[in-house]
Amino acid sequence: MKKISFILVILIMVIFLLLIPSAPAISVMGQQLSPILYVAGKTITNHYVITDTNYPIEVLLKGQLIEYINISEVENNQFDMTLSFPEKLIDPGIYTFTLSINEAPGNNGNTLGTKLSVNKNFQILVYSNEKELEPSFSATSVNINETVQFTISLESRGYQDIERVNAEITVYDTNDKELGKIETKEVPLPALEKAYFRDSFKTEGLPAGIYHAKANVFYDGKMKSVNTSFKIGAMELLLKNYTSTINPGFNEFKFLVENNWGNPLGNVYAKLFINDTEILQTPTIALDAWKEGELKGIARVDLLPGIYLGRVQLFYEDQNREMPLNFTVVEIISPVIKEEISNSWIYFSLGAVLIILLIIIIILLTKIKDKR
Amino acid sequence: MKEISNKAIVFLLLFTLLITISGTIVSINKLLGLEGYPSITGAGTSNATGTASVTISANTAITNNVATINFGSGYVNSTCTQCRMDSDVGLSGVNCCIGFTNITSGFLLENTGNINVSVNYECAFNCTAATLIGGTKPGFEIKWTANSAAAQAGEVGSLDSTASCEGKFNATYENVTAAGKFICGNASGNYSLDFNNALDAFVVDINLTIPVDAPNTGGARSAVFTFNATSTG
Repeated sequence: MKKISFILVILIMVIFLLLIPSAPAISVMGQQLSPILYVAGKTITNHYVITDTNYPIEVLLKGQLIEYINISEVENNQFDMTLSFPEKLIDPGIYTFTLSINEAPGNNGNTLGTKLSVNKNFQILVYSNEKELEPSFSATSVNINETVQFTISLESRGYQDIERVNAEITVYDTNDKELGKIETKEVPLPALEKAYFRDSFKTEGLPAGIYHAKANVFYDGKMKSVNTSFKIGAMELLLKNYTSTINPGFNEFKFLVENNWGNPLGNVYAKLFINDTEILQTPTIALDAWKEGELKGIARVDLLPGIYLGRVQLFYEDQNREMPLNFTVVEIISPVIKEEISNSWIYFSLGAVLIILLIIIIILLTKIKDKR
Repeated sequence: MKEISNKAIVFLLLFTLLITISGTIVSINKLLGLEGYPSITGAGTSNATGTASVTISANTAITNNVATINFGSGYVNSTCTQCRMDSDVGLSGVNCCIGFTNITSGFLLENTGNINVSVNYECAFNCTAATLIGGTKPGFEIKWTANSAAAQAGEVGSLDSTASCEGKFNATYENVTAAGKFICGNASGNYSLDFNNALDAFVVDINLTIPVDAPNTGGARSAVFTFNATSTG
């Protein structure tokens, strides 16, 4: 009888666990539309599916331009939202509206009850009624004597066609000295469309370095300027940063290096000398074009506090370069003492725990012996 | 004290084993039901070519893993000035709160969609301490905390390990208002409740302070919170 009652209790518990209701939730799924570009006369329809909720729901629209938006009847928790923009142009700007799906369970009698609601915020971008252009400018970094590719992206952000767009690119060196000019062709750009100018610039004879370029974009009597920069690279490894302050004893040395070349560099490592004595050779790494990397290794420094002159030899591919470095040796006493103290505490605690365990084992063994 | 028999120990061990095996079977079945754990099939061979296209829908979703906080009915012991009921820590001064239910879980809200959301609350019905409770110096307060800190069980996904909502919470109680306010993110496009399982939940706790002279209306007084989850459309 007792066994049957026990099994019954277990069964009830299992059934109870299986019948625990899922947590209240609500979700609405649909393709992302925002930001929506306003185009006079255009119609956009998006389908939405509501899931997870067990309550009746209501779908609401609030915000700007909702007079042009229609929500279909909700059937099987699915509906369509249709934006029908009128054939007229409206004031330029950013308009917002919200699609809300609300649960409507009412007051469920609990002291503190909850309802859930999910909302989607939309932005409608209304561009200028004038001729508007948004240009952007980019350039490729190259190796010495290679040709730079310039790209000017043009995006019409107005509802009027632009009849003529052209650009003038001027290239400067690091000292702002003008190196050359490029004139692009002239093209028309329809309203809300995109276009590109692609031109090249020969770098023969120019040394490695960072250069910049300015593009003046002319469109139907207006002008906008955009800037960019590019590198002319040489096969060399640049030292960007290094560990300059060290302590007596073992130290981790780090050298941040950069590949100043438009191709990968292999066999990259460094040798460190202090007082003309080699104290470290780092492991070898490879660097992708224009990328930075870290060369590091641990070495012992047996020097008194002070400033020392050293040098680093950077190796890459089958080449190497050397540069002088300064190191400051600083003695820090307190952390070492602190570490020793903390270590001794750890040993003491471990010892104490072992002794206590030993005592417990002895007591237990004695008890077992007595019992026998 | 009577010693536990070997039979009882064996029975307990067998029972534990049964639960372990059942749990393993249920877990494996659930895992197999998930995407990414397909059933084992034979290798298919085909030379046909086609175009595959996919559209990922934005799913704006919110789950409230604790839907109600029901303190039940009771009264304040006449020897006390008030009874304080906090869904975070339970009844304060058990001797003062007579008959009320000890609640220790707040509303556990979780982003169960695939897009980040902001969350605000609104309150309907009795949204002030005076209308919900009445009497001298009643309290009806709200606070919200990251579930990575509150560690309340019941998330649909795994328990958060990182603070949600960019760690911006209101961990001290403030008065509930009918208009409510933003709990996570804001109305200006800061959708800071992440959909990532590690930081997708937070807990909203309620504190009720019932004074000894709170009027007895003979029926339950209630307030309904609406939690709005908003994403970009």
